[in-house]
Amino acid sequence: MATVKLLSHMATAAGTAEVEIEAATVGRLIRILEERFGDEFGTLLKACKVIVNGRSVVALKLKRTPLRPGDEVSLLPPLAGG
Amino acid sequence: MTSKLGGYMGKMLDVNLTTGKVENYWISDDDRQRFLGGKALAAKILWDELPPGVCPLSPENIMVFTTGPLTGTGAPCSARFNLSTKSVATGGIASSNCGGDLGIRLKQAGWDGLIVRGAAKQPTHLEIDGAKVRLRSARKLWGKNTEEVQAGLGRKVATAAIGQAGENLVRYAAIMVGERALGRTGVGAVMGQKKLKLITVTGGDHKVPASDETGLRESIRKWTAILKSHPTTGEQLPKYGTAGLLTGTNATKTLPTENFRKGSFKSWETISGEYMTENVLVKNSGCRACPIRCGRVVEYQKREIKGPEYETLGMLGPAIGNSSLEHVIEWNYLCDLYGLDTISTGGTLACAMELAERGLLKDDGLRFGNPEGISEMIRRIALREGIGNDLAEGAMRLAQKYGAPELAMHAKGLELAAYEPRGAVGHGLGYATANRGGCHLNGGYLVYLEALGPITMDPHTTKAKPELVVMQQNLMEAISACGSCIFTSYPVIPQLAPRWYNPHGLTAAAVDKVFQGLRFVLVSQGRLGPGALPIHPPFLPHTKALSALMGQNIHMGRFLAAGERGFVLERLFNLREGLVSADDSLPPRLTDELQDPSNPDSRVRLDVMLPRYYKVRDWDARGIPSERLLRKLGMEFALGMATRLRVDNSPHRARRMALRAREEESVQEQLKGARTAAPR
Repeated sequence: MATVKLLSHMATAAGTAEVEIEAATVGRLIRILEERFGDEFGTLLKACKVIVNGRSVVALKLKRTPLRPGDEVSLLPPLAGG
Repeated sequence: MTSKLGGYMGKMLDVNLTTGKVENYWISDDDRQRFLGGKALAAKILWDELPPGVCPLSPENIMVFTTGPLTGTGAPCSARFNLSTKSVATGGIASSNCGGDLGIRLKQAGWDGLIVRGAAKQPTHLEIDGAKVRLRSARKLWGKNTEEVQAGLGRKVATAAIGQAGENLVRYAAIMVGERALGRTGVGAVMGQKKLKLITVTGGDHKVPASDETGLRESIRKWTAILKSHPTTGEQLPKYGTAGLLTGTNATKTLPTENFRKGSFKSWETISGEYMTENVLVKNSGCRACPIRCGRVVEYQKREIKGPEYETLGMLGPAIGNSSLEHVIEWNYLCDLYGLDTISTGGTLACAMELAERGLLKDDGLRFGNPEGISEMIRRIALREGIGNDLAEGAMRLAQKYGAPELAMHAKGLELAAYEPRGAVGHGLGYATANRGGCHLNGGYLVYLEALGPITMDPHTTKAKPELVVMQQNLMEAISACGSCIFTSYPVIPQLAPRWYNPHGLTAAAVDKVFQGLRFVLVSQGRLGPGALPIHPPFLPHTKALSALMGQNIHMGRFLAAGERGFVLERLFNLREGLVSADDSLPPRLTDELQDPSNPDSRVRLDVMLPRYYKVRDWDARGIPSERLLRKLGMEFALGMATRLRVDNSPHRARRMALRAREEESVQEQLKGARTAAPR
């Protein structure tokens, strides 16, 4: 099971800040999330970065990034500050 | 000699506190076109007016307040103004940028800026009421905090005041502008040495002249729409403030934790922007003409006070192991009252905690995660009492004194802001090369392109990072120079429709490659000069607004060139004052130790990026701007100094080091006589 952190307004859209999901890859995990939380959440999800254990999947294998039990996956909408 | 260009009032105010003389200071339209305003123009004034080798804490140092052409025009987020001086933290250039009302009030009073020279014998209040300028006694205000000093002056009076920290020459003393701060680089200490307790600006009904008023209004309308429709400036910043960023920095391991030992904090949720919004937020606040309104007003002990922004949360939160938002709010408020920079206060406390953990500094209360005694320590820093006197010197000098200089997380003597750069290595290069020291904004804020923004690239690769840092530094310098808030740069990276860009799909990989490939394009453009980009990009409305305002075609190429001039001149100022390429560095923790042992790229490879950065900038191997570059930018006035720096060799360098040592001695002399008593 991977722990999925729904950050910022993703938590509001899903109604929860954290879920546990069994998925072999990031792609599979995204599909499960879209099915579970609906279209509006799915739309927001398309703008989110996916971070696995602190590393962006862009630097890993994108949707094919494998997930292991205990992995922490964060869904991060665009942010800025300074 | 007034200005033929729109956007300028035509003159600056020049006040000498030693002699009491008040004069006009004239700037040529040529300099206005080359440097625009803000920090870039201030660097030119410092270059012209400040002799090399002046002690930052001496009457010879000058303070240069500048607005930008857009300040006070009603353009979105254009309430900004800048203060530059010689830094008591780094010995190089100090620059600090601020919102609030002061810049707008200066222009309404008929001034493009203010130069303060000399030092008063007694505490002084500089009162600017339109064209009337008076120096009044501030003896009754000396020893008071910034809230007491600014209270009761009315909404039509803009203020800039120091607290006890500035009076006591704390190296990271701030100047409070209402509730906003000229926070970084110890500008409050320079004001304190001048015995200038308070500046007030009111009066006048001057309107900023615009060359094409209709064109300017149309640009402003479109610009506002862009800011409101972008996910960061239209949604995140209004909803959560800059504090909303903490969620992202924690997830991407760029949140400095326990003195930058780690990049994420296990108890982040209770100090996040979301938590603040849900639990203590009363309302948003913002500068005049700002559609973003990132400021927070929070409830604290049944009062409504300013809420902390991201940097403060990071540095008074995870950086010292604190997970209590209530404590951050309290300490933020105390720092504002005493007039202390919250970033440097947090960075210095974090350093002290690690020194204490290693048994090098004896103080039972200083422990990561222990909030007890922090309020009292902030007071002792501001008053330079006991061990607070050591902490008032900042992290670098504190760690040197206690025998572990490697534990100070700083660049050039300025404490790093709240981003752990091993999670975004280009951001680390920005810290190392920022002219004012460890600053995220002066450094180019690459973390936005690496980890946080709508489109990002691999945060750990070194490819294209030098090129992107240069581009971002020049862009942000230009935006700052024109009087705009840096936040207006965020829409440069647009939110693309999902069918065009999926941040976890193949398009993300493609964009990452495009970013990395930009290194060839950016270098070519940089070599061609200001004429190479005669365009007005829709995502950067500054250029069209400036063109309508000034009556000149300030296209992208000229805009970026103005930023580059400012950056290069600040660099030359630093070199002239004795800083060397070895100062473009970071603590070994960040360059040598892996943040994540399983990721060999999780350290800041300055050894790879810095030589390339110099090359992209057309600086030589010692970081000195080339003659070709200076001619390209029309900075022939700096050729002589650059040549002297280039032929410099070790004896010269030794002389410059000796100069810095002498400056330091002068500072220490000033500090001995500076302590004032203040009530608990």
